[in-house]
Amino acid sequence: MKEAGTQAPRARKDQLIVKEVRDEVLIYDLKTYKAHCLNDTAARVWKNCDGKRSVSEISRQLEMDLKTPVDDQVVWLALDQLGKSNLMQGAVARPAAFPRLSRRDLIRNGIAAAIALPLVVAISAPTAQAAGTPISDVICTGRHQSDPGGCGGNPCAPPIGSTCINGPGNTCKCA
Amino acid sequence: MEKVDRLGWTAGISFRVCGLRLGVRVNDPAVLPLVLARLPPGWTPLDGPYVDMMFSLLVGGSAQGTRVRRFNLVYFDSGRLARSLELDGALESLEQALDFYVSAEARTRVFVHAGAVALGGKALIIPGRRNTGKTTLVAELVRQGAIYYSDDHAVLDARGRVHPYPRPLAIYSERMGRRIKTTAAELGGTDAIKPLPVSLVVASEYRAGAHWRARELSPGQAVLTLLANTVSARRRPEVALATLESLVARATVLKSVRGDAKETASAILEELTSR
Repeated sequence: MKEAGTQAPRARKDQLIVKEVRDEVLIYDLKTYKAHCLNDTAARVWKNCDGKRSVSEISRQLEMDLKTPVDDQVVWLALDQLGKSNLMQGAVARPAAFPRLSRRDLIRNGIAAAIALPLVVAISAPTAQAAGTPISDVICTGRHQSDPGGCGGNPCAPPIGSTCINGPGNTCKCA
Repeated sequence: MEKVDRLGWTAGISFRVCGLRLGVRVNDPAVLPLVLARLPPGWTPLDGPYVDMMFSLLVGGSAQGTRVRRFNLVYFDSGRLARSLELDGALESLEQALDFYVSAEARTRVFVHAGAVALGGKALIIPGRRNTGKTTLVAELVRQGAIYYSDDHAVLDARGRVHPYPRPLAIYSERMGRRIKTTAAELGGTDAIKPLPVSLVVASEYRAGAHWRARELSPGQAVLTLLANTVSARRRPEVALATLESLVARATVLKSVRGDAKETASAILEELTSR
């Protein structure tokens, strides 16, 4: 399914740390504290989103780079994921001729047999406390809400799965 | 001068660890040896009096002529961090505060929330948040002959090597209903003394009845998995990413659910020695 694209998607570049790890691209978003891993196909689409090339032109560029046919729907799928991850500047309006298709739809329709479908995996970088060491119940209850940092929100162990949070009055408790 | 600075400190130590200059002061010289035992592993004494951060332990004891017991207080800078009637509880708070500060602020190391052991000159780390069974697995690996690095923090340098940070393991005892501090020696193992390159990373979570069935992660996803457990990920993402990148350039990163710790430890050590 080929159609002359009218869109010129532009990748967001500000407030990002970008690292290439073999075929993948890692992007750390300094605004949202999220880290994204783009597989080869998603990374190629993202790098080609310069605000000048249309979706069809990006598809053709990918075809030249990968030496295999690339349907515009593959690029649209990548743009959907990149947009959701806040890695694009503004929303890219999708023409009616290109309905939103899932990865499964693309595989079912035989659109993406030759190349890996674009994939963007994201995680939230933990706060220091979230990645911190569990504290005991005794230490949690020894804290006060009025202390610097309050009850701290550190994990308690035991009881497993609880957190040091505000208790009655000025106290803290593991719950 | 802050109020806390006028509380009558009579002894203290200034030391360097992971590029930080820290101090701990106490109001009773007799407790200083107990404090020294709680300092972050790898600390070295500092000559100068200037430190980046001061921790203080005010030993309460009994009020003179009465049976009233006073709280032992722990201060971080000028703010009170914890209080406890038991000296051991206060020392535990001090240890946790030191570890927390060092792991978040370290200048020359990156702290990943992970267990770490080594065998045959190859290091293995097991990243994971709290209550994912890391300590149980690390304890089992040590019982099966691995050298102990840490059960809580994998301390990484810029070359992706892991450094020893051997605090006693906090093993949960169902009989006692709490975590018991256990040394590697008590498990029949030994503490590590030198850094080693990481050969294997195992991202694994306990699930009752599950069997070890590992799949290899791509380098990018491997970095993401480690970053999700990196203490300074938000404060120094560039340094954290560069460190993790150099680690995964040389290490294999496996992901699997796991059940029984003994079975898993055997499978992991087999993976480690085969590489």
